[in-house]
Amino acid sequence: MSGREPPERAAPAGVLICDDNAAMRTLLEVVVGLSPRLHVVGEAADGNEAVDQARRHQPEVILLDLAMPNRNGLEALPELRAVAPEARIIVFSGFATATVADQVLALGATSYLEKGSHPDVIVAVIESALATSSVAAVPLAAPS
Amino acid sequence: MDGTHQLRVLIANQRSDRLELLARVVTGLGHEVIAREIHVSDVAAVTARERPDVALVGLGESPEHALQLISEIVAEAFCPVIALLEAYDGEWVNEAAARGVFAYIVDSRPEELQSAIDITLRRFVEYQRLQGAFDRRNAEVARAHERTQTQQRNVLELHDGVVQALSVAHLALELDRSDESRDALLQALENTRAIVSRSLDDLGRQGVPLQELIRDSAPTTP
Repeated sequence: MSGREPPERAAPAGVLICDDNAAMRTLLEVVVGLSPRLHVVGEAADGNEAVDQARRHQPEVILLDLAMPNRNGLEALPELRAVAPEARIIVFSGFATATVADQVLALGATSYLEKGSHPDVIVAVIESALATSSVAAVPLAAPS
Repeated sequence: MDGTHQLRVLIANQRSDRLELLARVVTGLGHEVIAREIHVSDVAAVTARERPDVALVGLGESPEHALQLISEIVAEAFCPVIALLEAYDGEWVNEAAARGVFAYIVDSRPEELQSAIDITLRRFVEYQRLQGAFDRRNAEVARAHERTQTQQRNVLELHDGVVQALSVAHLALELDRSDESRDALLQALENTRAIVSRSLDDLGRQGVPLQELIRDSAPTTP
């Protein structure tokens, strides 16, 4: 975590949640709602939906799961980068950081967050990502 | 032929008299002459069409002509070529080897030609069998590897299902949503049970008795 305060915004930043698990999407919506500076603009259950939603909503942040059917997060990442160039893409996955973080950062993700992180950490990582330029990587966060 | 199968043989030589002699020898050994060629321009097409098991190419009047025949046959069908020379010519043999010749026979004594070809073709049949056994073994290993990889992928999917369910359970717990947490824990339990069942099934199919499996699944006493 950088510890920097996110810049003041006139409107809350839009977050797109991409995860094939419906319960996880619901919970992430609750987590995003914990911050008045964030709001959910869309949800996607696979990589194809994620690209469609990102193109349509141009979110400031994309929370992206990796293991999804049809088109996984790793496959969708480069196109997400292309259709929503201003978005900070935070990969939120059950795989250990050491296994995949380098690869997703190389593909254009802003940060990598392991599933199992505390809600406050998730919000902090999102806000920290918003404080960076869209392509810069922020420090990785491990589960609390 | 004892213990060897009949080969489909292409013979090629610039000299038609040698071609006839060679055809008689090969036929006499119980093999089938499927084509006789003199011209370089024709041999590639004949090889592609007939797909011989082996080709015998004689060094006729022109060494270069024989080398061209070898190149055309090897390039067209990956068919092993055995060269026939009336006298040993090291330079020519080196060049023929570079072009992919499988073996050569020096047939300076016509009375020995038959036995020389016989021995070479028998060795070739053995080589072919070994190659076949090797290819079959490789195919078996590849199939086993594919099966193992499929099993590993299935198990990975199940493992990931456990991680997903536990992640939901944990996040729901942190958000004080106990019902969702409980549901996710039950899902994780279900996924874990599926992993154990699959491992038991796999090991059972490999012949490990159930009693042993139950004993192995119990925690080891410290």
